[in-house]
Amino acid sequence: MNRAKPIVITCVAAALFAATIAWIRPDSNGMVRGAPDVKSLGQLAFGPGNVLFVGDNDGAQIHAIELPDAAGAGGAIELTGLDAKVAQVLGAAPADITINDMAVHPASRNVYLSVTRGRGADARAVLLKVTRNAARPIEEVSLANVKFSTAAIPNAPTDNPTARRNPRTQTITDLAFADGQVWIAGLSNEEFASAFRRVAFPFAKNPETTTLEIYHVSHRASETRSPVTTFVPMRIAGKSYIVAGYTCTPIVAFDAESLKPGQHVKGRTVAELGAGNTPTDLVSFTRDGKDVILVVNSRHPLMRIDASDVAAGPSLTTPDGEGIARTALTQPAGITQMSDLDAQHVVVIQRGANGLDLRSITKSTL
Amino acid sequence: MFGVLACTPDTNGPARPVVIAFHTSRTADAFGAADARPVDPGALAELARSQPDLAAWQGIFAVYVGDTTSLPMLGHYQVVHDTLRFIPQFPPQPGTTYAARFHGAALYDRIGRRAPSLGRAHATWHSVADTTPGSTVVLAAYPTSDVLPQNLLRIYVQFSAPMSRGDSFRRVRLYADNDSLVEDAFFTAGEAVELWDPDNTRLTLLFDPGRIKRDLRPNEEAGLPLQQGRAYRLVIDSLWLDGNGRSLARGFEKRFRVGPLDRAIPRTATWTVTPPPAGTRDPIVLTFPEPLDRALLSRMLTVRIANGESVAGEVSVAKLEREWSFRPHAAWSADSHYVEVDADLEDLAGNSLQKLFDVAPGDSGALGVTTATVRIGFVPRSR
Repeated sequence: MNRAKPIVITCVAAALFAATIAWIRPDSNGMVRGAPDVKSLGQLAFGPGNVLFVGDNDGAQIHAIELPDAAGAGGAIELTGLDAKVAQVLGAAPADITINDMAVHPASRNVYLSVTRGRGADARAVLLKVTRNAARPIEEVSLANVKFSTAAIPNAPTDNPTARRNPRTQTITDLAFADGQVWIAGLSNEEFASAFRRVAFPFAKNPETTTLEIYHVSHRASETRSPVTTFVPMRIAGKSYIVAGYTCTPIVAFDAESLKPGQHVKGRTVAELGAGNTPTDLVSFTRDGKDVILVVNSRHPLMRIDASDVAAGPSLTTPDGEGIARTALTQPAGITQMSDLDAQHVVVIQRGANGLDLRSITKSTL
Repeated sequence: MFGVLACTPDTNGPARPVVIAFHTSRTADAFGAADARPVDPGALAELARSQPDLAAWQGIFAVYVGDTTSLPMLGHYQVVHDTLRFIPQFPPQPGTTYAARFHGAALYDRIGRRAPSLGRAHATWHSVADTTPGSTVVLAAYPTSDVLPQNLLRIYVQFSAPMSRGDSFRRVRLYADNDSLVEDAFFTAGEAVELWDPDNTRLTLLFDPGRIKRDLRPNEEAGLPLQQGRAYRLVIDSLWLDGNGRSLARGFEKRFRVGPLDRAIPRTATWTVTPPPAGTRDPIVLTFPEPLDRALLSRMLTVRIANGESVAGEVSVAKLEREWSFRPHAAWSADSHYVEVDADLEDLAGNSLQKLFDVAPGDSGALGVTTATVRIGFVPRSR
């Protein structure tokens, strides 16, 4: 009996050891199971296989998190008083809540929100989802036990051993998955640079991000390295494009194939928006059989432009030109975020008299 | 007989009413948790065994912000003998009222037993706001000079301690000399972007590049935020809360005048180099004809010896950001050294060693060095 015991223990130990190894070995997507080291949750974008990409500014990293969510039929989703209700669920006041970004789960069509609760030293990042369950519209999406992988975003272009803690940060203004890559637009708190990056997914063990120098050209042809505030990858007439909105407000189109590291790539300015405004969201969808892009603006009304004009339209070179045709939509007003929801709808966050509302809008009305 | 009946667990006799108590001490375990007790331990144990989901727990016992018409708060549940405890996901916010509600009937419904007359329980608690006076202040705003170029690109505001986020949009104001507010001077992406350092002690105010850059509609329609020849005040409101939720000890104001546009590339050939004596730890000093960017000066200049190895030491910036100095940790050898300057180093208008902030075609003055770094050689002088 005493002889048998050590064998049993060894077997158990071996089994545990093997199980542990299996547990931490990355799967085919490079993911392991556990809790990602989330410092903040900002920009969101879904990729294939229920993977949510999240920009983590405070951690200078991108997380790829597999979030299965039961398939749903979609359909309109509404929640008035979104900020008040998010605050209630998180045990705080609406003024203590910031809704950073929104993305729609491709299978369940639930609306995912990255939220920061608190504004000071106690600030915490939370991932929530809004469902069509009227009794319990808001649920937490726990990240305690998920399949994930993380890619660091390199900080500080020079290695300076004389510097103390590096005060330089990158704020990720937008991210998207397309053609096997996660595309990341960022803005530094120090030098004025157009840090538009790309990292292949699945993330390699030490993922390499390539930085792309993109320039935009104004109608008198002067150029700057300007940070991108929002962009959307899309296919127009069989070609891959990145359509981007800038801190300096032009809308610029890039041939995605031409975006190679180390190359100085010039985009075509296809539209110029006016002063006092930043494009904050670009959403592409099909409306009555035509591909369109909706531009959500920080102050100007919603604008709709045709994808075919983006591909085929002339580059802005004349001083008086505004660029391609755009339709300003005075209604709905006060839109701060927009995402493609299902075949018929987009979902928006709209600022009203009493705070924020989550609403669905029929595409054909936009 | 009555005595014996009174001892059985599943009694219909008079039971002690359930009372809800909050954990209100900031230093206690589970600050903000709520306890409902006493509840029959057997019933609680069965409830726990039935593995309620969050919605089921919330139907029995829930805590709310404000009152019970709110959505219930996220948290988890513990059964501790005769106590049902709710632990909120997040600690209580100061200055907030919380309400808790317990439904005895819902508990017994779930486990399929007949409820004793436990009825309902309700309690509220107000988490007191912190009124301690704050001690955080603005230490400085850079650039330090009180004469700034019309196409100034950035201002850094340095605080003495971490600040709260999301409030800069209404706590920072720029006034022109007639006390008129300069609207939309800074880039905020619709009040969604704040550019803090990782400690939340330094905020970068980025002037709207669309208004500064030539040939864009914002520049043509609204013009540059600053006008040459005028005086301005950058005002920081003391109501801004720091990271502990306390107001600043005092506000801050930076007054400055605006000079001409700066469309000149900074060139290292215009800098003066003062080599230090060999065998000392005196600093090497570089001075510039114009102020350069405070943050970039801290990290974009590195002292190296001939083989490229960096020298350890401390960087200082002085004289209105027109002087950079470096004091080594070990005494200087008499060997050749160089200061390696990253060509992305910018002046106050965002012009780097490589190119102007905005480059018009045919603008021969717009381009500087083509290398990633510039070396400034020096040899510590013999005494």
